[in-house]
Amino acid sequence: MSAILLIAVPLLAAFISILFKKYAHYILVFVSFASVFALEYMDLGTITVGGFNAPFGIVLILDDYSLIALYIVNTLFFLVAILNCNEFKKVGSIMLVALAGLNGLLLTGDLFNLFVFLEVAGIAAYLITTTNKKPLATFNYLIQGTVGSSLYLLGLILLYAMFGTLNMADMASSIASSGYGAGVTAFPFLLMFIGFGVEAKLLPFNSWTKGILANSNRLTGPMIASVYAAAIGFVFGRLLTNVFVIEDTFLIIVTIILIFSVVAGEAMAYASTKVREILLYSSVAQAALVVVVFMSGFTGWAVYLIIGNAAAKLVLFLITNTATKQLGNDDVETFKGLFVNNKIIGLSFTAVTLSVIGLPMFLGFVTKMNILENMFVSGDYIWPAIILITSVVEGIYFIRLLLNLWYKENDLPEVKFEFVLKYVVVIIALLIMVFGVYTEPVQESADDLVAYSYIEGGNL
Amino acid sequence: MIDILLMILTGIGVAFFGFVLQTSIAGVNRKVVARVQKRYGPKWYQEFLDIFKLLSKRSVTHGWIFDFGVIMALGVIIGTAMFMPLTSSFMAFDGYDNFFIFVYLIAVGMLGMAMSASGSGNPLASIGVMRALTTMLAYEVPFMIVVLTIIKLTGTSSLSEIGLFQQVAGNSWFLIALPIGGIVAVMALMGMLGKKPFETYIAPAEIASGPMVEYGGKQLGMLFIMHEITVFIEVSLFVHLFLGGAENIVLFIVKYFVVYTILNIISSVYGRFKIDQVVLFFYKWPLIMAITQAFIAIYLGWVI
Amino acid sequence: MTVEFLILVALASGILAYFVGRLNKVLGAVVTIVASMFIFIMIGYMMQDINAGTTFNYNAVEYMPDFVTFMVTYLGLFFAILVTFIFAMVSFFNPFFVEKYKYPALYSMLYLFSLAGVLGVFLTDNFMVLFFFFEFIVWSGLFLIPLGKNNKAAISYYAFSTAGSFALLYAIFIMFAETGSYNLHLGLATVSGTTEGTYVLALLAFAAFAKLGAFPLNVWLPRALGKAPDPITAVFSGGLEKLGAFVAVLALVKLAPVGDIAGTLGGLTEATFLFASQYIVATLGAMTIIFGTLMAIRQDDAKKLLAYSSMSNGGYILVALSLGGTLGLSGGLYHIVAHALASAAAFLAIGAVSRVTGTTKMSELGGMIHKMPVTYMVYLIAIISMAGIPPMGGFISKWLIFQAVIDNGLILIAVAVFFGSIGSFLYVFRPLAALFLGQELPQHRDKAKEAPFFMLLPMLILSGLIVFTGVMPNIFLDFINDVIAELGGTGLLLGDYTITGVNGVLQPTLIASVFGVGVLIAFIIFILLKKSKKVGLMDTYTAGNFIYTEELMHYSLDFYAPLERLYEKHINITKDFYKKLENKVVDFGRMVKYFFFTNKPEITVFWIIILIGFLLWGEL
Repeated sequence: MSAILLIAVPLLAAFISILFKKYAHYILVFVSFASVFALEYMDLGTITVGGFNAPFGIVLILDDYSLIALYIVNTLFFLVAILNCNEFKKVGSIMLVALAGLNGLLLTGDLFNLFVFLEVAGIAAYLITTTNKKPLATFNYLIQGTVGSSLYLLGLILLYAMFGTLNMADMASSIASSGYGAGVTAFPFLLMFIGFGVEAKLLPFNSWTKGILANSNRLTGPMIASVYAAAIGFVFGRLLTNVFVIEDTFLIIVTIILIFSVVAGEAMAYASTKVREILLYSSVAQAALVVVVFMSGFTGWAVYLIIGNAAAKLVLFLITNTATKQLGNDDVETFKGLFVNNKIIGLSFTAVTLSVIGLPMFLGFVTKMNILENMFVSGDYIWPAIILITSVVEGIYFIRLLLNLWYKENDLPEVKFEFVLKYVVVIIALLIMVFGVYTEPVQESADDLVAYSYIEGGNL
Repeated sequence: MIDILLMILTGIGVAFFGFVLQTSIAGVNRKVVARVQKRYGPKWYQEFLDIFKLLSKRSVTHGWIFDFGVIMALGVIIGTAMFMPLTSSFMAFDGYDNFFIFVYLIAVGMLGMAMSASGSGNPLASIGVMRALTTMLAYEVPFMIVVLTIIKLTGTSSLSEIGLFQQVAGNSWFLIALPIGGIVAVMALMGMLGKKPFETYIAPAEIASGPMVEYGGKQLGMLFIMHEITVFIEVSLFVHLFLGGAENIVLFIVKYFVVYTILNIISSVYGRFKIDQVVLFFYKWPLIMAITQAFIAIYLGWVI
Repeated sequence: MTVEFLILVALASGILAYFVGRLNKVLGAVVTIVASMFIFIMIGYMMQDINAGTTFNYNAVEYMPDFVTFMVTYLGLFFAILVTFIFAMVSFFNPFFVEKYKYPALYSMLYLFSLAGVLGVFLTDNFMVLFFFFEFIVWSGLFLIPLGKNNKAAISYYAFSTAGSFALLYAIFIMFAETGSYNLHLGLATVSGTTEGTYVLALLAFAAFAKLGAFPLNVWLPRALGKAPDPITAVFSGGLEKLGAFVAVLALVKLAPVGDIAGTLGGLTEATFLFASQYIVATLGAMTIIFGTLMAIRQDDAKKLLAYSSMSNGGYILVALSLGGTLGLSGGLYHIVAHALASAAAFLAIGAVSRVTGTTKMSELGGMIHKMPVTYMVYLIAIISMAGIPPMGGFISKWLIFQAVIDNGLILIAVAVFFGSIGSFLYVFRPLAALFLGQELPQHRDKAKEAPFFMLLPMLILSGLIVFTGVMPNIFLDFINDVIAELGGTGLLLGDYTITGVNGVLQPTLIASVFGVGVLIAFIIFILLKKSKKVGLMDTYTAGNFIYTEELMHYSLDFYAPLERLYEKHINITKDFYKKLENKVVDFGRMVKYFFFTNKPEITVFWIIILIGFLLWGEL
């Protein structure tokens, strides 16, 4: 089966669903399930589109890396879709477009094509976030997203003018063989970095996140914080490891941005008193951490970091937004004692949170330990210190949240969680726990990723 | 086995000797102090009379802890006195006259008394105990620092060996060899004995004798005995540590008498500190002096 | 009986306790008794084996990553026996307390999980395993503490413990980068004495300080111990806090001290060679002693008071271990035993009181001795040991520590050590006087009764051991000598009944018997004299006033008010510091939010321009 179907079918389904508006959400669930299912039958390799061979034509790359990315993103997408299909019937068609855009992002091996999919996915995201009913925030997101992708395009144009190619692998080898210093490519890369930084929620470019996520509902919260974040993380990872050359001043700028994002993200989450704000600021820090790990070259563990975060944020935002809808607001004070009568939900929330903090018995612990270990082995002593110090802060605010949600005597908030949601969060929490203890497959696959995807993604 | 029994009997003998010695000297001192204050004062055996009278009287008790504390206090103090060397060669348990044993065993006696006093349910007693403990916190630290200096210099914490050390060095008493520390020790000793100006915890006019307020009859008598033996231990400590110990028993009694009398005379012309003044006092000059002395003696080696 | 088996037993019985606890709260707690007793006995059994041979090693567990190894060493066993013993003793209290807590089944489960963590930390030769279980204990403890209804305490506990754990982790990774393996002994041996060794030492010391609640990382200890459920307090103070001591041993004994400023401060008699690191740790330990003592004197809550006393005792352990040498090491290790037993017994006694009265505030209690005499005796013995008075275990260790301090000629540290020792008389006496003695307050007179047999049993066993460690310390010191030999030091010189220090010989048995003879004489005197008449507690001298209210005759609030007035203004420095630190983080977070998270996209554009400008600086 050709990987191009992953883009074509959702797109086609989107058009069909416009004709059958009433059934749009069924189509959405079916297609998103089918695309998870179809991944099983995909052949690894490069697909040329339109008959032109690389580097002249557009190629789609399906290697180990993008396969994992597709699995994760499609599965998460499916979960979000099935949990919300009844409530948000109107956005069914748009969700299909989003799926096409996201799959395209993950598959493409062409930098311009990437821009196109970025725009497709972006526009879908803007439309999805209209369900928040906060037009100003969505508008803000729209403006910033557009500025970001324009900058990306500008950077890409510069690169195209310099090297005459748009293919990722070809670009990488052209840069390597051109003999230009890092200073020459720094400017276009910075533009592209900023462009992606907007979507990836790196700090100075991410003011849209507050408007979107702090007002999110059950659809947009998990969609943006989990599905989109995972997809953007994977794509950014590919660019960072395969295309970008980050050195000198550019490296300084990137390092400052990242340190600032991590530190300020955790501090802002610490200073917040609303559950969704805590979660969104924490995901700002996590997103920066993903970029750090990719830049350090530990692709395998960066992938696990993305997976862990995406799964965690899915659970956290689902639970939080469900509760927020029923309670009216998301102040920690209102949420107090939420889990006393919802123990199953509470346990899943706790397990997931502990994993994000990186306490033992959970997947997050394994990931964090390996990242730190690799950093130390490669002689980096600064980042581990920053990560550990911010982890303390992160731990404190998450633990504070958890304890508040667990311990209260009377006046308990009454929230009902539906059956399917319980199922989903419990399974995710269990998986996080199982792989936190049974670490062998995680360890092996992470090592494999470092060995394979790097080469295949780069050289076709 | 016989050896051990014999040792224990000797120990009991030492304790009894200490009691008799101190009680008589205290009696004599009552006369001395009276003369300082232009009175005649009681007979020298008045203290004995008081104690026997109390022991023979019928009294009241406030529950088992009230009695238990008294027994514990007296018992432990007797036990402590059993370790005390009389001269530098005569003691019940040779080689075990460790300084720390005395310091800590006296504390058990104090604890027993404090417990019993608090068990009486009288708040004045509790206030007295509070003051006694606070005073202890004040004088003990400077004193221990001076003793630390001595132990560091002599390399032993055995009282008799410290005494011998001074004798071997040609009767160079630590009171003179460590002059600053000596002064601190005298002040600390006054605190230990509860002499003015550090008698805040008894303060009869203020808190009705503090810890003792509820006692009468045999309990008070036993506490009197305990008090006498405690004084015996504390003054003997001073004699051994600072006055070169004693070659023979006569010298011991003489030194003992002189120390106790001088302290009494000093005390008889002083008023009484408030409790926080006691603490402030000891943590100001005596502590600084003790530390200075320790520094000079240990690091600079200036020992006269 | 392998270590991993015991850990699995602990984990499995924890899960069992949870499900049994869901059916019947008390039964779930009974599971904790059975399981922790079993584990304690098995660990004790392990000691039989180790005496026969030397250190022995268990191979990796097959289904785990290959670095998971366990190893039994004398040092690990020393801690493991002690802490599992405390767990086993305290577990007897669980059935009587679980019903009070919000999640009884969870309580039983986490209790056993912590126990599993303890085994994992002490009985491994692998740093990663050690860290894993270290953190495991943190998160089990994290949910145990708030069962006592205070979230803040749990958060402080988490913050400081995690900061400590992460310091440990950083040190572990430094060693890993050096050696390429997580082997504990290899790692420490490799970095010892090198530049990396300095960092590792500092980081491990930080971890030890955080876990012990030593100055300046002390804020969590009184909060957590004061607010945690009563049995958990005992476990923390007697057991889990000792994790810090364990790390301190690794840092201060297994690593060579650094910072060569010896010689310059050489003493008169013989040059005392102490290094900068030793001085610093000893000084901080001394600060811990003073600070803990002063704070303990001020407390009104008996549990908080004992918590500060734990802190101060942690200071003794640090001072002793940092000085090292035969006396320092054996003093420090013995103090760990003595304090674990004494503080567990004291906390349990207070717990027993709080069970019947519902409060641990001394100002609300009085005269408990009349209804709970056995509990009182347990507390009395515990505090005598805590204050370091013979014939209890605490005296032996204090005697050794004093000698170590004197022998090194450390005057200022000696001031702190003596101050803490005398100060401990003051604070341990407070619960004695205010809570157990004094007037019997009417509000508790009818409710209060002596604790049931199964609560008294562990308390009496602990008391017995406290006395035993004071009378026959050589049995324990023998084992400590093995530990010291394994650490590469020389053990104490022990006779049949005597302990030889640097400046004196101690015969604890003799002291105890003389003590007994003295009390016997006093008792005979007492019994021979006329019998006293029993009168009530209100029948006392009141200088002619007529008072009929017990509260007015009970002096318990602000007991040491005149003393407290002298220092109360200066005592909150650490608390204030962390409060300020927290405010700074919050301020920073708010500031970033204010500057970056507005609804104005132009701000974002502004930052983008700044960044591009920065890159092109000098190029245009």
